[in-house]
Amino acid sequence: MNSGNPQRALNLQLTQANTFDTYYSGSDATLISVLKNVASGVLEEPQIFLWGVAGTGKTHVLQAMCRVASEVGKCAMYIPIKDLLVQGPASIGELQDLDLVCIDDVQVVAKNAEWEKALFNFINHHRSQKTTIVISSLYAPAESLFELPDLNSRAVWGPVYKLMPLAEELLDDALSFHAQVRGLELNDEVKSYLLTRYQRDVSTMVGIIDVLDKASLQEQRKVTIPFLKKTLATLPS
Amino acid sequence: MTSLLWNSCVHQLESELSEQLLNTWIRPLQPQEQGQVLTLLAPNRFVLDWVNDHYLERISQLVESIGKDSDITKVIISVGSRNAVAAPPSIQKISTQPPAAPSSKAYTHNLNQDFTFDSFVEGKSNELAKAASVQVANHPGQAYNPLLLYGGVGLGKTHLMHAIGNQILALNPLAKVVYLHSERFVQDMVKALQHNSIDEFKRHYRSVDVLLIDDIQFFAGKERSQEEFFHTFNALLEGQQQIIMTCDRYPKELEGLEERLKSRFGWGLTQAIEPPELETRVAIIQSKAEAVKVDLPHDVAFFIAKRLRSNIRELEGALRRVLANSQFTGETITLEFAKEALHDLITLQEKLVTIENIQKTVAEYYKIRISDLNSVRRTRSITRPRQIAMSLAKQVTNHSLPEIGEAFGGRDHTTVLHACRKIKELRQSDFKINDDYVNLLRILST
Repeated sequence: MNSGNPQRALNLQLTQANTFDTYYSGSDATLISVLKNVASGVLEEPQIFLWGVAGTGKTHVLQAMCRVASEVGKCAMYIPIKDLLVQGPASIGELQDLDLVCIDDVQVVAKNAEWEKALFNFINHHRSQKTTIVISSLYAPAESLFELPDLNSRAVWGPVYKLMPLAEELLDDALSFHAQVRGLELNDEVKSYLLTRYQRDVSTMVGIIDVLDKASLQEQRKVTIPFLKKTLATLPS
Repeated sequence: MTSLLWNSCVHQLESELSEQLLNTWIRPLQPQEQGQVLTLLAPNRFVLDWVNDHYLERISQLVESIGKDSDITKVIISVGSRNAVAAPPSIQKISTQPPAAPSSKAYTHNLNQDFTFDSFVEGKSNELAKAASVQVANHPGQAYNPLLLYGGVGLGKTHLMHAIGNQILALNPLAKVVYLHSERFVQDMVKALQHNSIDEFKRHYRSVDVLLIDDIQFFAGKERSQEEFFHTFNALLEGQQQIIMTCDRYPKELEGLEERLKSRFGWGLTQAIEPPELETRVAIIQSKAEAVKVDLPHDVAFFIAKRLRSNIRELEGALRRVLANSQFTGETITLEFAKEALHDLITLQEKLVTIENIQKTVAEYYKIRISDLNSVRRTRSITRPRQIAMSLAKQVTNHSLPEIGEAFGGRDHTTVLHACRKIKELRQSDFKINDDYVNLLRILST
């Protein structure tokens, strides 16, 4: 038995599946229900544009939509455009028929003529193939997001939704939710400590919970204030 | 069943890969069993290469261990889609080769059946364009050839174009009608050149009865494509085959387009589509609601139409959002409900710059009065700021040229057009004017 090194947690625990069950919808419940039903095909919607500041969960819901679609036998693809920048616009070209395509962070290609044109062709192609297109962006499409006017007009060719940052009064509840999803218990004292000392947005909180979850599994300890302080000592506050 | 085997593989991969990797590379693959081979259909060449390099080995191992009792002995990957596989063999898409050049394809019209004359809402802004389109649809190759529809984005040019195609096919189901975007023409041509099949490409496009080509402004700056299109265009006209084109502006104003093409585009009929006025926007919303069998209260249609002024796609998007919200909350659509459903959109619209705001900002900047901008005075100290204000209004608002002219003391739309051109020209030759313009743009957008 090795006694010197802490026991490694299973890789499985490192990645929390981005499903609708693990998404804290807060005040966006109606929107989430719309997205879930679009993904499963219950609601027919050719195109949706989601936007909102960083940390509002756009990536999470896009991936959750892909998962729902796959579960009902549809073919879905998540396209992290940020990661494909170096590969160039050809990476999203000539895609065969899919049921759902979710394209994340389109603002990164704004003002890039080649990419804008590729995105324009992408929307034209998939609209004509009756593929459902879900687009996410940090910015609203109405604010001249793109240089290509044709692309701006196509960006709003379906419902445009804004994902709202979580209201202050819901942060505590969201924290409990995300801990619970991971089977982690956080008492009120711990929650209050986190909410007063760290950036009060969901993605920061989820990141911290992931770190605590991993550490508590490795060390087989409950999350207490001293444990939390020790674990998070290296994180910026 | 292949899907069971594949589902088990995906399930196993869920514990090995992140959600993002699964959704980007694994879930888009469509399994297909052919004898002892499991073929994974990748949506494009790029995904194929990536999966080949990163995951195929692991997938093969999993298939081997999970599918011990199945007949599958080999896993391969190719570009394709199950939907395409289900189609007749002549358009079979399974291949590890890039898709073939278009010339080998049968005629596929690519028309959207929903875009018909019946579903096109007519108003003052588009009645001439519609009348010309109906004429062409009833007498292809005779009435107006070519027909060129131009206007801003999202005003219904593509709808009319599809409607012409659909009508021609309804009257003559054997007609070879082909709709394509100009970008597609360029891509197909490049592919044909790469595959040494340019002759087939030419034959394909020159043998159609009706060629509908969308957004010709994308030909700008592409000399080889223009050359090819020029010859296709001539061949079609000589054969009295109908050509219908759309463009986002008056073709003579297109930069980067050869003069001989511009001049030929003008041989038939060039017809503008203006942004729809309020009544037409209301009618468009109501017609779209009727199409999905929803009885939309008039005040809701009016509310949406009033808020979203220039783009029909945006109108449709807003309506769909109200309908979707109502479906999932079970609430009846009322004015209050619509306001709530669209609250963030409205907030955005309210932040948009108005002509009045531009006039006020420009007047303050040049220390003149707003009334000067709207007056008939023609001294240089007034006309330049007025031209700048008009040009800004064209750039940052959704108003049409006539609307801008009207807001500047009832001037004609050609005056606004002249102002926009003048300022564009001056910004290149006069640093001071350019600086002023950029400063004003900054003030207006903060």
